[in-house]
Amino acid sequence: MLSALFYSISAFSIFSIYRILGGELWFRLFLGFFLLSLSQVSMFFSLIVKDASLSFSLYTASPALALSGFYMILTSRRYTPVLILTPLVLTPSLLDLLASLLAFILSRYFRSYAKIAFSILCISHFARSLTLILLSSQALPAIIPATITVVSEFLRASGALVLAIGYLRRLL
Amino acid sequence: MKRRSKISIIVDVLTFIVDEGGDTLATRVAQATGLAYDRLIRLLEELNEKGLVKIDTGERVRRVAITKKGLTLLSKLRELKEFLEDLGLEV
Repeated sequence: MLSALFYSISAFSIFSIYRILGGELWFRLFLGFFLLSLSQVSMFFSLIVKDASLSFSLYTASPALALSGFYMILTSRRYTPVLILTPLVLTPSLLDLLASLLAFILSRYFRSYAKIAFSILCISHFARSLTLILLSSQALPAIIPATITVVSEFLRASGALVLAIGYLRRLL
Repeated sequence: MKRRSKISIIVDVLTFIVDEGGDTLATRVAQATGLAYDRLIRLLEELNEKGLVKIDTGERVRRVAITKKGLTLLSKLRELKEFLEDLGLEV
């Protein structure tokens, strides 16, 4: 937790400069350290919670948050080498692919609205994973990955909407 | 010659104004920091908009004074200098 505290202090010191000077660079740097702080918090709780599933979820969230933080810090520099960005493009793509696989497995266990919603989420994450690879490889005109992104985000929102239609009245 | 970052130039400008007692002529700032006068004026106007300096335009000369907010920023940047430079930001 001390490391989380250090990252938070760094983040908010940088944020105080951002408040005065403005500028994307300072905001990215602030966000980077803030995400690293959240990653440490997530890691800490993954170690102390008793529930194994919750611990695993937090353990998974920790590197994802760290990855986002590192990405923010890296892109806060004026010049970012393309080669360094390549694994950063592939990793979220792989995360989306794994999310798609888990959503698919879950949808097989679920029924009714939940099954439909998780099937939609599965397709959405699969599409997202394709988008980044297509964008980074520049194999197709940018309009195609951009369209896939819009469709996948629409699907993701639709998944939540299906869940809301099916269960919101029962949950409230 | 290595190109200075904008933040490094801002620190140089604010530091010089402080060294001059918090208030000086824009021409002196330009000489001390090695900035072209036009470029300095554009920067000072930007800093003026952010409330970091106050520009007093006389008939023929421009005076510039650092504000409390400018002093706060300078102090923060000096405190974080080592950390920021280790992150690759020239301060």
